[in-house]
Amino acid sequence: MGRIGLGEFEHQVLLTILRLGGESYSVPIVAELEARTGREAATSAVYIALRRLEKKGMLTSRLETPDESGEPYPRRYFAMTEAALEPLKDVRQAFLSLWDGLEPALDD
Amino acid sequence: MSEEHERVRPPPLARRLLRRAVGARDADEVEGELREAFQVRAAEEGPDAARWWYRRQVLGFVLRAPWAHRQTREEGSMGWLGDVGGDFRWALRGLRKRPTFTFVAVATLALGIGSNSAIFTLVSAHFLTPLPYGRPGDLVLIWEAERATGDVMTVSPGNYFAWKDEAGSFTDIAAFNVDMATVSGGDGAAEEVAASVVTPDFFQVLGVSPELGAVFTAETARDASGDLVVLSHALWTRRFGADPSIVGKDVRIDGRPHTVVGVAPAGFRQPERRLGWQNTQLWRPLLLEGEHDDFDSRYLRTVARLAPGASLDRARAEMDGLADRLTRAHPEQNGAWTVTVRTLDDYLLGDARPVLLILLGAGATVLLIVCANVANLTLARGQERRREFAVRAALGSGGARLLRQVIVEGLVLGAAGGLVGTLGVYAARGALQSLQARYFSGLVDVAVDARVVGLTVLVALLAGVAFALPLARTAARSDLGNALVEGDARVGSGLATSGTRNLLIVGQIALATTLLVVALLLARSFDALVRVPPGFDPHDRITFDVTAPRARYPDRASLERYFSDLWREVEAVPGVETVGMTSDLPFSTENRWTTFGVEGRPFDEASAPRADFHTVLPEYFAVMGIPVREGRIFTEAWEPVEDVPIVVNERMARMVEAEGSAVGRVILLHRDENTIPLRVVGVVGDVLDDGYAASAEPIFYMPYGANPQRGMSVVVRVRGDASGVVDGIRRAVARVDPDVPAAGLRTMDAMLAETVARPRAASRIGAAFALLALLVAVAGIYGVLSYAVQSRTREIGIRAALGADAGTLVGMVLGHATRLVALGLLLGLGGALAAGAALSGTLFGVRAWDPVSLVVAAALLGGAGTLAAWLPARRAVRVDPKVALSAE
Repeated sequence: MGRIGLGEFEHQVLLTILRLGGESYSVPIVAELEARTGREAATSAVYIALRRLEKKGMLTSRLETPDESGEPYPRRYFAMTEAALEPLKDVRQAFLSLWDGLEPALDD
Repeated sequence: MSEEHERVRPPPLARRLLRRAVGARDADEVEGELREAFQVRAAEEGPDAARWWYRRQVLGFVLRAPWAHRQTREEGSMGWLGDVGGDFRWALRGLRKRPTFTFVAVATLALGIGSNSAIFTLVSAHFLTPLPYGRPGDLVLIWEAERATGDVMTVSPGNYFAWKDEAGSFTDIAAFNVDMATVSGGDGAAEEVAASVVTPDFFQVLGVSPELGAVFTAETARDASGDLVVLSHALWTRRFGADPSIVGKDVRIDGRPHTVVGVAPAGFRQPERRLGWQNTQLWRPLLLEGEHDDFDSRYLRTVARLAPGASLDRARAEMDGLADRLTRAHPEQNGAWTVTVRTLDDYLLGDARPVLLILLGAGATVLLIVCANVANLTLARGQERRREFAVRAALGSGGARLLRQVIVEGLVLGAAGGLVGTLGVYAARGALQSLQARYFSGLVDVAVDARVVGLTVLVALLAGVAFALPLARTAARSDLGNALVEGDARVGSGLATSGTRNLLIVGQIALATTLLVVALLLARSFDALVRVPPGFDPHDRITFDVTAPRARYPDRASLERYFSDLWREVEAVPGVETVGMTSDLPFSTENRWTTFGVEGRPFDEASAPRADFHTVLPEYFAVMGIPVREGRIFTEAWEPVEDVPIVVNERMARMVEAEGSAVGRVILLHRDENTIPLRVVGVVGDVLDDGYAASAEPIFYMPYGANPQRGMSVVVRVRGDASGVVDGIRRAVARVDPDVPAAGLRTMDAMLAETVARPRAASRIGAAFALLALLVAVAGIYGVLSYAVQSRTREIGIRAALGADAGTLVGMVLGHATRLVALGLLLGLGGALAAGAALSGTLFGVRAWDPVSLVVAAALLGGAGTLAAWLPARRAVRVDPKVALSAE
C-alpha cells in the first residue's frame, strides 16, 4: 500500500509544529494547539501523538541536555521530516474535497 | 518569570505519581516540561488553577500509559502501573472471551479452596486461638486419680480444701460442678439451661471479670444462703433484654428467687469438655459448708492457676507429694488415690487435634486434585491459544513477558476462586460453628477472621500459579512461529501428544483413590466401633446423677432413706417403667477397683487379680437389660448384710470358677487386718465399662446395703417419648430434696453417642471430602477426554469411512484412557497403603490394608473413570463420517 495513515489529532499536532517553524518541544506545541482549537489539550495525549508520529517516521526528535538548554531539565525537540509532507497534503486534499460546497450549509 | 511565580511549586504528590507513571527514562524530561507549562499557567491563571491543571495532566499520563508502546523490545523502566495493569486487563479480556471455561475453572477452584478455608477456620480455632480466659496458658485442672491405673476421678471436698490450703504452686484453686437448672422470669416460658455451682474464686482463677456487677464472695453467698446468681451474657441478652439494671434484681431459678450479682462477659465459656456444659448459662455459689472433712464424696471439679514462676513440672511434683501426705493422713479414704494435673488447654482441645490433622490432609489432597483439574482444562485450551501467543510474540512480547501474562491469568482465576470459596465459607459459618460445637469443642468460636482469609489468599494465589505453570511453559517456548502458519490450531492435540496432561490425569486418579481409601477406612472403623455390643440396652433409657451431701446425710441410715425415697418418687413418674441405680455407669471411665482373693486359693497382694466393683440396686440389671447367665440376682437392697451376696460378670466368673461354675464361690477382700467375704450368687453378661474401644474388665456388683455410696447414677427405663418424662423426673428428684438436683440428665443413647463424637466426625467429614475428590477427578477426566476426543473427530471419521466398526473406534479411544486410569489406581492404592499405615493408631477393628476398602475404592474410581471416558467416546463415534471429515 505505501500510504501512511494519519489520525485527526496527529494531523492537528503536525500542523501545530509546522506553524511553530517545523521544530518545537511539548510546551509551546500544547499552548499553540489550545490557542488555535479553543480547547484544553491533554499534555499526555500530545506526547502520545508525538511518539506515534516519530514511529511512523514523520517526526524526528533530539534530546537537549540541561547543559545545552540552560534549563534545569532535559528538553525533547520534535522536527518534521519530509516524509510527513505527503500524508499532510493527502489529508488536506481529502478534507477540502469533502467540504466542497458544504460551507454555506454550515454557516449561520 | 517573576520571583513570586518561581516560588509556586506543582503539587508534590502529583509530581511523584507522574514520575512513576512515566517511568525513570522519561521522568526528568516530562516532569521538566510539565513544570514549565505549570509556571506559565500559574502566572496567567493563578497558583490554584495551575495546580488543578497539573493534577489533570498527571491523571492523563497515568490513564494513558502510552509508554508501553515504547517499551516493547527495550529493557526498561516501564512504570509498573501500566505493565501489571496491562497484564491484568489482558487476562480479564481473555477470560471473558471463554465464559464456559472460566465458570468451570472458578467453580472448581472455589470448591477446592473453599473446603480448605473451612478447615482453616476449624484449625485456627483449635490451634491458634487462645481460650476465653485470662492468660489461659497458666490454667490447669487437678483431678484425683487411681494409683494403680491412673484413671481420673472427680475430687472430694476434703482433698480440695487440703490442696487449697497447702499447695504453693498455685495462686488459687477453685471448685465447681455442673447440672441443669430451670430459669423463669424475663422473656419467654421457663426454660432448662446448663448451670454450674462454683466456689467464689472461680471467676478470679479463670482471670475473667464480669461485664456487669461483680461475682459473689464467700460472705455474701453464705448470707444469702447461696441464692445468688451470675448470669451468662447470652442469657442476660436473650431473656432479660440486656437490662443494664439487672444487678440486684431477682430471677427465679428452680422455683426459688435468686439475686443477680453480675453478668459474665460475652464469649465466656465454662471450661468443660462435655459439649452440653460449655454453654453454661448461670453460676451459683457452691457452699461446701461442713464438708471440709469429707474425703469420701468425690464429685468436685477443680481448676487452678499456676503461681508466677511455678512450672507445670514443679506443680506436679508438689501435688504428688501432697497426695502422699493425704494418703497417710486418711488411709481409708485416700489409700487408692493420688493426684493428676493437666493443662486446661490440653484437656479441652487435645483430643480434637489428630482429627483436625487428618482433615487438613484431606483438604490438601482435594486442593491438589482441583489444581490438576484446572491445569488440565487450561492445557486443553492451550492448543487454541498458541495462535494468540504467536500474535502477541510477533507484536513484541518476549517469552518472559508471555510467561508473566499467563501467570497473571492464573492468579486472577485463583483469586476469583478464592473469593467465591471464602464467601461460601462465610455464608456457612453458622453450620461450621455447630459442626465445631458438636464434634470438637464449643469453647472457641469459629470465625472467618484475618488469619483464615490470609491463609486462603495465600492458597488461592499458590494454586493459581500451580495450575498456570504447565501452560506457561508452553507459552514461553520458541516455536510459536509454526502456530501462525498452521490453519487448524487443534491439529495434533489429541490424547497421545500431551505428556503433561496424561500426568495430570494419572495424578488426579491417584490422589482421589488414596483419599477414597482413607475415607472408607475411617467409615469402617467408626462402624466397627459402634457395632461393638455394649452389653446393655441403651435405648429408651434416661440417666442422671445425684450426690447426697454429707452435711444433710451424715450416716448410712439417712443415705438409705434418701435413696429409697428417691427410688419411690422416680418410679411413680408417669411414663417410667422401672428404675435402677448404680454407683458407676458403664462408659463412664470413672471406676472403683480392688484386688481380691478367692477362698481356697493362696493370696499374694503383689500378684493378686483386680476387678472393678459397683454398688447397685437389684433392679439395675433388669433396667439395663443385662442378661443373667447363671444363678440369680441378690434380692437385698438397703439392709446391711453379714454374708454379702455379689453378682459377677462373665469375665470375672471365668477367673474364679471351680468345676465350671462361679456360683457359690467366695471372694475375699483384704482390708488392713480384716478379710471381707463376698458370696457369688449369680453371673451376668459382660458390659463395656470403659467405652467401645476397651475390652470387658472383670466386675462384681454389691448391694447398696453392703457398700452405701453418697453419689449414685440413676437409670430409668421409659415408655414412650423420653422428653415428656424428663420434666417429671426432675420434679420428682426435687421433691425428695430440693437442694439435690438431677445432674447430667440425658438419654443413654446420647451418652453413648457423645463418647464417639470425634470418630463420627472424622468418618463423616472424610467421606464428604472423598466424595468431592471423586467428583472433581471424574469431572476432570470427562472434560479433558471429551475435548481430546472431539479434536480427533476427523481421524475417527476417516476410520469409520474406511470401515472400522463402532466397537473398534470406542476401544481405540478408551484404551488410552483406561491405561491412564489403571496407572492412577495403582499409584493411588500404593499411597493408600502408606496413608493407612500412618492412620493405624486411630483405626478400630479394621486393618490398615483393609482389602474391602481397597477393592471398593478401586472399583468406584475405576468404574467412574471408565464411564467418564466412555461417554465422550461413544458420542464421537455416533457422528456421521461425512460430517466428521468436513469438520475443521
